[in-house]
Amino acid sequence: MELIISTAYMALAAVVCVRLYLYAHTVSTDSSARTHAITQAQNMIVSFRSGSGTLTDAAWNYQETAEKYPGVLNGIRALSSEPDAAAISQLSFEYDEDWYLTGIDASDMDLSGSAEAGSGSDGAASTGNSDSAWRMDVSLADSTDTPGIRILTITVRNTQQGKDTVIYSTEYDEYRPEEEAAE
Amino acid sequence: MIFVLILFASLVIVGVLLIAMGTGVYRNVLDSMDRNDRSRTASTYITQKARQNRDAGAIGAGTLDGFPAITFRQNIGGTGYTTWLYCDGTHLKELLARSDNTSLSAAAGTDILEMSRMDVSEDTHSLIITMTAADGTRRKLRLAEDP
Repeated sequence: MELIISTAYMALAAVVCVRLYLYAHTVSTDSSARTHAITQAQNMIVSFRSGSGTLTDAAWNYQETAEKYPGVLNGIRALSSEPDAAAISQLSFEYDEDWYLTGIDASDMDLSGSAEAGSGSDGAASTGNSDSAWRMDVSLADSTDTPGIRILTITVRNTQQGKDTVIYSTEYDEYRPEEEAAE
Repeated sequence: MIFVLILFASLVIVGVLLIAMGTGVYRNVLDSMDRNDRSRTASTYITQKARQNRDAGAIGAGTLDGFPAITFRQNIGGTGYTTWLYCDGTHLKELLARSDNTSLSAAAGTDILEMSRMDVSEDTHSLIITMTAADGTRRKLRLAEDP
């Protein structure tokens, strides 16, 4: 009887240990992902600040690590050259596991025409990548309370293995009167 | 008796495996934390430095002793000084010197943390800083030049 109890006790201890190891690994991975997410969000905010107050301008300034995927750069160029570019209020940036930008997607705009121009020789599509590991959703809206205040909302998600988990979210408010915001 | 011995042996093997697995996980977690901390410390240090010097035209890009550098200009008692942040191939370094001093050596700076390379380029109203850690991982940071 005591042998069974000691075996069960050992098995329980082993399970607890393995769960602790898994938890430590998960916390470490999450911490690293959040650090990357914060950097990307910070870079996007600076890109927005550097531009004329539109999302297309911010995307053009951003170009984060896009040199690995020239198709993405071409996609951003195509996006910026659209006549109604200023009307874009939401953009999604997709990254691979190493946080290299692999795709860009404008949900409120038809990019099918510009996707041709945006596809590089590497095959990266400017209209998004279903195999992305991370995604940064950026939206721009006018404040309903204070005229002239524009609110940039950034949400970074983990999209690996079919997941859709928010790992970081932030908001950037900027006072930019209408005449300055116009391109 | 043999059953007890086999049971004891299996418990010992499980224990050793758990310890080995724990050591591996602990090492991985430490490595990951170390990489994360280095990268975050470097970007936070540079960002905070930029925020301290957020005057119009104070932040720029330059070259010190052949190494790309971020420059922060300031006026102290009527004299112009420049803080140089650069990487000499082994460390991120900082050097405060008079702006008119043109004979600066990269070795004169103070070590901040380990880094193997830092590239600085100017874009529309912002600086793009590419930092390469000692283990080869790269991170890009964008800094606003305007206040």
